[in-house]
Amino acid sequence: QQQLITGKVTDASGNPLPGATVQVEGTATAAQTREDGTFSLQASNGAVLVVSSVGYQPQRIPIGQQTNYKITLAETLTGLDEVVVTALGLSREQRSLGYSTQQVDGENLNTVNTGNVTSALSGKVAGVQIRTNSGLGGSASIVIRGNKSLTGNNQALWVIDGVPIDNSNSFSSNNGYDFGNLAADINPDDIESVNVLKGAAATALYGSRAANGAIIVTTKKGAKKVGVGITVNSSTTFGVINKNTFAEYQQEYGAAYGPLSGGLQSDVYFNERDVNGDGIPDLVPAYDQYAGFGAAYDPNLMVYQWDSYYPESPYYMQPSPWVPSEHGPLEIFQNPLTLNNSISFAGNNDNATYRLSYTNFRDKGIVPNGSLSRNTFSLNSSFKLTPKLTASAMANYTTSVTNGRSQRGQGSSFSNFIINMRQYWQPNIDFRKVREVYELTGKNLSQFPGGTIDNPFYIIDQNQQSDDRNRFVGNAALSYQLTDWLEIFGRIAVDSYAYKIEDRQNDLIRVPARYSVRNVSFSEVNYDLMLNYNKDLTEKFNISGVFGTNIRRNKNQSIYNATSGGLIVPGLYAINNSLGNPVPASESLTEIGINGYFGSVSLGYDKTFFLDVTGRIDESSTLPKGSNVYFYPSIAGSFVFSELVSSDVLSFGKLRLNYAEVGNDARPQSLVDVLNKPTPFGAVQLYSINNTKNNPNLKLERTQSFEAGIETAFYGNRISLNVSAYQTNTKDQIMPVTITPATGYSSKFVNAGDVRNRGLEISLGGKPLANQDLTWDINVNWAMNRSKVMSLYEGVTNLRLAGYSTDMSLNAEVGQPFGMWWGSDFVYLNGERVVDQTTGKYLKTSTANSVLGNMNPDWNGGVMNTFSYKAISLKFLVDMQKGGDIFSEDMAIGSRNGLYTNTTGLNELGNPVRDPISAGGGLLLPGVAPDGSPNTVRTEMRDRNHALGMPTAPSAMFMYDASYIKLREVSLSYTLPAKFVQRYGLFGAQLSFIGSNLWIIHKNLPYADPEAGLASGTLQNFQTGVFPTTRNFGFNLKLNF
Amino acid sequence: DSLTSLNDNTKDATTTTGDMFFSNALKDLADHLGSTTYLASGTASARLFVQLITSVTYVEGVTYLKAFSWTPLYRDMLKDLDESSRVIAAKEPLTDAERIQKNNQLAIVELMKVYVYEILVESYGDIPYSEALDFENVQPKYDDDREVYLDLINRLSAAIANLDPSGAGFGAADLVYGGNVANWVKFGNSLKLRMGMRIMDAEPAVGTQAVTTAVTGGVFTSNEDNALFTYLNDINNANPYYAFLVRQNLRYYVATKPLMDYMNAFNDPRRGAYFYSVNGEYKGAVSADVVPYNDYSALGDRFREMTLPVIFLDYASVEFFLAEAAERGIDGVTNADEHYNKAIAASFDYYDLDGVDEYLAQPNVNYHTAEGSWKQKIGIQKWIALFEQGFEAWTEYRRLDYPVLKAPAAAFSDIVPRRFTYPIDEQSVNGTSYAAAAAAIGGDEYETRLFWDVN
Repeated sequence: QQQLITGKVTDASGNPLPGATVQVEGTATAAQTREDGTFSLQASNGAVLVVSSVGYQPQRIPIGQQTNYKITLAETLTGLDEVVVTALGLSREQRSLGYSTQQVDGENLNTVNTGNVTSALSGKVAGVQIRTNSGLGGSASIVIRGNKSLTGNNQALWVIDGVPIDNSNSFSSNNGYDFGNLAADINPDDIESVNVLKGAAATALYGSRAANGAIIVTTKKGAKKVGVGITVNSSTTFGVINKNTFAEYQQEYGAAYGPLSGGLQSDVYFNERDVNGDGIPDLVPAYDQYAGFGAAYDPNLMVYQWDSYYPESPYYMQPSPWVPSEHGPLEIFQNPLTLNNSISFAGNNDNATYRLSYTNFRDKGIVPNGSLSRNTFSLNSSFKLTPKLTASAMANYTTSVTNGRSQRGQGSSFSNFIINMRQYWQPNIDFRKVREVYELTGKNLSQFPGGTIDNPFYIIDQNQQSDDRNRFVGNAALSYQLTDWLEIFGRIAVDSYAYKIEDRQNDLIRVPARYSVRNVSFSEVNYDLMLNYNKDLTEKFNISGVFGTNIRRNKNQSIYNATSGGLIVPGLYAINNSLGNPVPASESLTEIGINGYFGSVSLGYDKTFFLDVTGRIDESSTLPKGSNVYFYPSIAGSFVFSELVSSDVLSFGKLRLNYAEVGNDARPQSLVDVLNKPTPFGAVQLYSINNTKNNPNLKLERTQSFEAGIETAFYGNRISLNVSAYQTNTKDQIMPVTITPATGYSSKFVNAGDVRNRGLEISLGGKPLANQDLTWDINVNWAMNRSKVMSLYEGVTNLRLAGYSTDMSLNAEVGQPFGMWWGSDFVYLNGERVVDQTTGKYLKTSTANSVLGNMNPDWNGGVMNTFSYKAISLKFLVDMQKGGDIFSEDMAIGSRNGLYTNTTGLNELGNPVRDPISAGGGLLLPGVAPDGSPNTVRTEMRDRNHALGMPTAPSAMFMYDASYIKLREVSLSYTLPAKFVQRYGLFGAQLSFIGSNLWIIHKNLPYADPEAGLASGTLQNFQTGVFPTTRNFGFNLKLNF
Repeated sequence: DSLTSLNDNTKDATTTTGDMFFSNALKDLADHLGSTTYLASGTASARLFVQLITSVTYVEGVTYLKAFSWTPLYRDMLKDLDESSRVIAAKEPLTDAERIQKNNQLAIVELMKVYVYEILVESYGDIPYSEALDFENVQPKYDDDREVYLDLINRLSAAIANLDPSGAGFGAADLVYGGNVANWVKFGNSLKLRMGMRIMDAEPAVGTQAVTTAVTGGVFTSNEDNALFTYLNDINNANPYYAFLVRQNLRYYVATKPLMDYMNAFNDPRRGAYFYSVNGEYKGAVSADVVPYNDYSALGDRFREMTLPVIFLDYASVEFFLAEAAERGIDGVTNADEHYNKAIAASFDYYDLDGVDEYLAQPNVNYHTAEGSWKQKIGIQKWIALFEQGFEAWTEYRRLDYPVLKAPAAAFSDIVPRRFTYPIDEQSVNGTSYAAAAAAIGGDEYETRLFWDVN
């Protein structure tokens, strides 16, 4: 029989909590608290009220005879008593952990949905470095506590509800497209919380694969139901290009590499040809020279530019004034639009919980014709079959289709228009005309007639890259409560996808039409069987833990086909439409198997002293028999000292300490040599020895990690401070080391090396304001990591991690941080750059092994502020990086070709630097003569072999500081009054205005976002052909029914 | 057990017959010698160095901006040749015919190894040799170039002696001679003639011995004997120039001014084979000048054919060497003028051109009336004839010192390089050996003369 239940909800200080939800568990009956914190609803005796409010721990209140309840909710500000999900899905009380984890709840993660959950973690977790690439579906890289592996993967492991998922980005080098990292398939709307396990002790139970840390995603279940359980969420985001992140041409000089004839002093910048047939020679610029070292603009000069060349052009045979382009390179882009719509149904009763959701995410990138569409269907449910037996299942199906990713980086430059626009262009070309000529003709009419660079609008319109992926992630689990302290748990978890990547390219100037297709099928299955125990031995002494086994099987198969020499029928993109004989398909099939056995014992005494010991034995398929079984242990202890002191100031205090070892096996198929099979020469078959020498004697690589930390909270949890310090050593790394090709190989797999990472992480939380109407929360994360290469391979003191098209390389040298930039440097005398006294140019070291910089930042940090005033909440996140050195090939080549203002302007005499020295021009570089006296020799800035471009200038000139400060996220939310929305049948409604990447407050890199770069991976901080980034604005509407 | 068998590679071969590695090495060699580059990156750059052509777009190569690599030679050719002989040697012949074929195959592979090492040693000087091609030794020492060279000549003599023209060779896998062993004997002797002549100034006794035994053994006697790698009419197996000039339509390379000055002075009909004319004229650009491509003579039609062969060694150079041997008074070789005429005639014949008699009759071409020493006469004509063999043209230019060429003003060297500098990576991957070699040859510089380049 129903009765009226009334009550009041307050916080720990006794202040009323308005807007809290009070719900009768398992029913649709619910109410929201009023301004004074009071509520009333109908409920029957024996029912359970669930009281929840954002920022507080929910409470369950069983209804007895009483009809009026005073309910106090504890804040979740510091989360110290929170239960968090740790390795293997084990729930643990945060206070008992002897290692560092940091949780981000779904709401804070999902303030702004960028489509890639990795990016959403940026700035929110200490010790986690995130780098998001610009461009449609661009990849995001996540590295926790520094790069540990010299040549392998350094990305953290992603686990969703116990399902480890593939986050590879192994296709990134395919034609220079960035295919994104595959964790992007995770739907942010389905995330309840994310817990980041940072050190080896936290991840030891995962074994080898989590040596780089793990990101444990818990998805929403049906347990927390609001209203009838239907939630609709809709967000729309618009982007505007941030002009500071793209090329801006100089406005003084037009096309040419330099004087066309007559040497440097000459002023011949136009070919003279009688274009219009009037017998008088006309001026024609050097169409096919991609640089801005031509004539100074002069509106009185009428010249026959590229657009007058083609009979199809509306400007055919029409001269135009020699002036800077009216429409610059930004003309090529569009404003992106992102739509995210989701609906979810959640519910529960005594025996079951469920949540069913559908999300559609659409992104129309900054390049026309691009689109990304992702549909996610998700079902999460659990049933109590008997009081002791619970079954649960999660099924997540994602389809994603992307069209028109754009090329970047060092991939094929044939159709890479971004590289051309940034490095090889003519600043006088008006992009709107380039578009117009293409749109009128539909032809690849190059803005460089006779040159080799295609019309970018043709490329965008006619090169249809596409990829689609159908992915299933799911698990099914049974748990049986054997006794009140012992549970047996079994689970099958699957991640599998079919991935098809197609590249359609119409005829380009340098390559005929082409089609290629790669089919990838991937699966990973994990079988887990665990015994979980948790027993209070005495009133104060608790023992808990797990014993179990994990069997993992991975299979990855890929087949690639491409046409050759063009297409027979134009526009038909199929392998059987190949004009030449297609090159034989290339195929690969790799399988991995791991059999793991693990156990843990956690002892707790009086909620004060905790000790965790874990061990895991893995047997791996990728190491040679006999050395493929290995054991790794961890031990972690914590001491909650606040239990022993009674203080008004200190509300919580814990010290923790741990040590762990994690092993890592080899990549599959790196033991036995196989042969390369080149394309047959007619009927003659060819075979070749592989470039990398495999090694049948590989053994395990090991990461050893120490960590110490302190977690504290003060003044009733109003302030919290957590500090962690750690050191990891990754030894006996399995890596291909570069060896002299005189050995017959370029590289060889060895077990060698030792990389040390040391770091410090601080997170500070506070609630400076907390009165009835206004609250202010602030969270600060800060972390630094220092890596050092302790040793490499016998006699090898440097490992070249990557070489770039210039003389730049990234290196791991013994005694140095991991990832040092080497290249040619200035020649210095007493700290001053030496200038050649004949040419006036900087002297440059003849070798390419000068240390020019360090790719690693000095530190990263983020500050999140949340202000709440009644129903309004304002959040903003400032994210920053200090240090790190980035090399810009865009600047090196773009400067060489005179596209930017660094090659124009006035010299110290007030004359244009582009004028000949003989006429008072030229540039006086700051520096000294070889004898140490100040430089007095000016250098000619008349052609593209000038002093400020590659390769005349040393590479050191194009190293930049990668520091930035960004206003990463802003959101302003308004929760509509309950009374108002209830009139419309709603249970709750929230409207938010959101913004992301609104402002790059500070950066030192010109014309680009320092975060943009190559695809995800260990090697970063090299820029070539990078896209601009956008400022994104939008709104989000969330309705609960 | 079943777990580790998951690691098996079920899609790629681990072993195959030796002929496939041999064919692949030949293809790699042809691609390498015939490749086009505007960089100073190795063998193919030699034609830029010796100013047969220049790039009017990218000037890295013509200004000698160092970017050298010996990876193709060691890793792609020598390693595959090594594997080829290893597999062939391991196979037990069942019959006499198989035994002869095995010996022939091993000898032919040996000839190609010598050929590739010759390129290395003539490019750099001291090179990893006795400790090369061993993955266990990742820091191989560099051997003295003179010793390497003399050893190569010995290996060459032994290989020639092991060839039995009555037996089979590689059959269709022989992408140079289609399995004809007699041709390989002539190739071996012609190569020996070349190597003997190369060291004539530094090691006259060994050189003379090599030349005389080569001539006795039988060198090339017509263009039929040429060692050519002929490409297919197939986009995947076309001459590298095709991809560059036709498929990608890259407008980089034109004739140089010095070459055109000579060829114009000689009214050389080969101009039309090598180049296009511009308004009826053949014009060469000054090396390293960035000038409009269309104003100068670009590479001609033959370089746009997929099937254009790459020349490993040809009859014309054999005759040029014989002319020189006659001048040097080597036993059994006489009449320098006849050999000189035959060499030029062979070159004309190769390009299917008439008018060689008129050409030879010109006073500035005629061996008896042309200007200068025999070195100058032979040097200049050889340089023109070696147009498609840029590396050999550069090497002979270094040895004969003709034609006289100057480094471009903008170049990173005051002289036309006398060697390649070692690949930059060697400093980091094999630093100690590199430093020792650089010291031993007298500095890792363009100016350092190699041991045979003594005059």
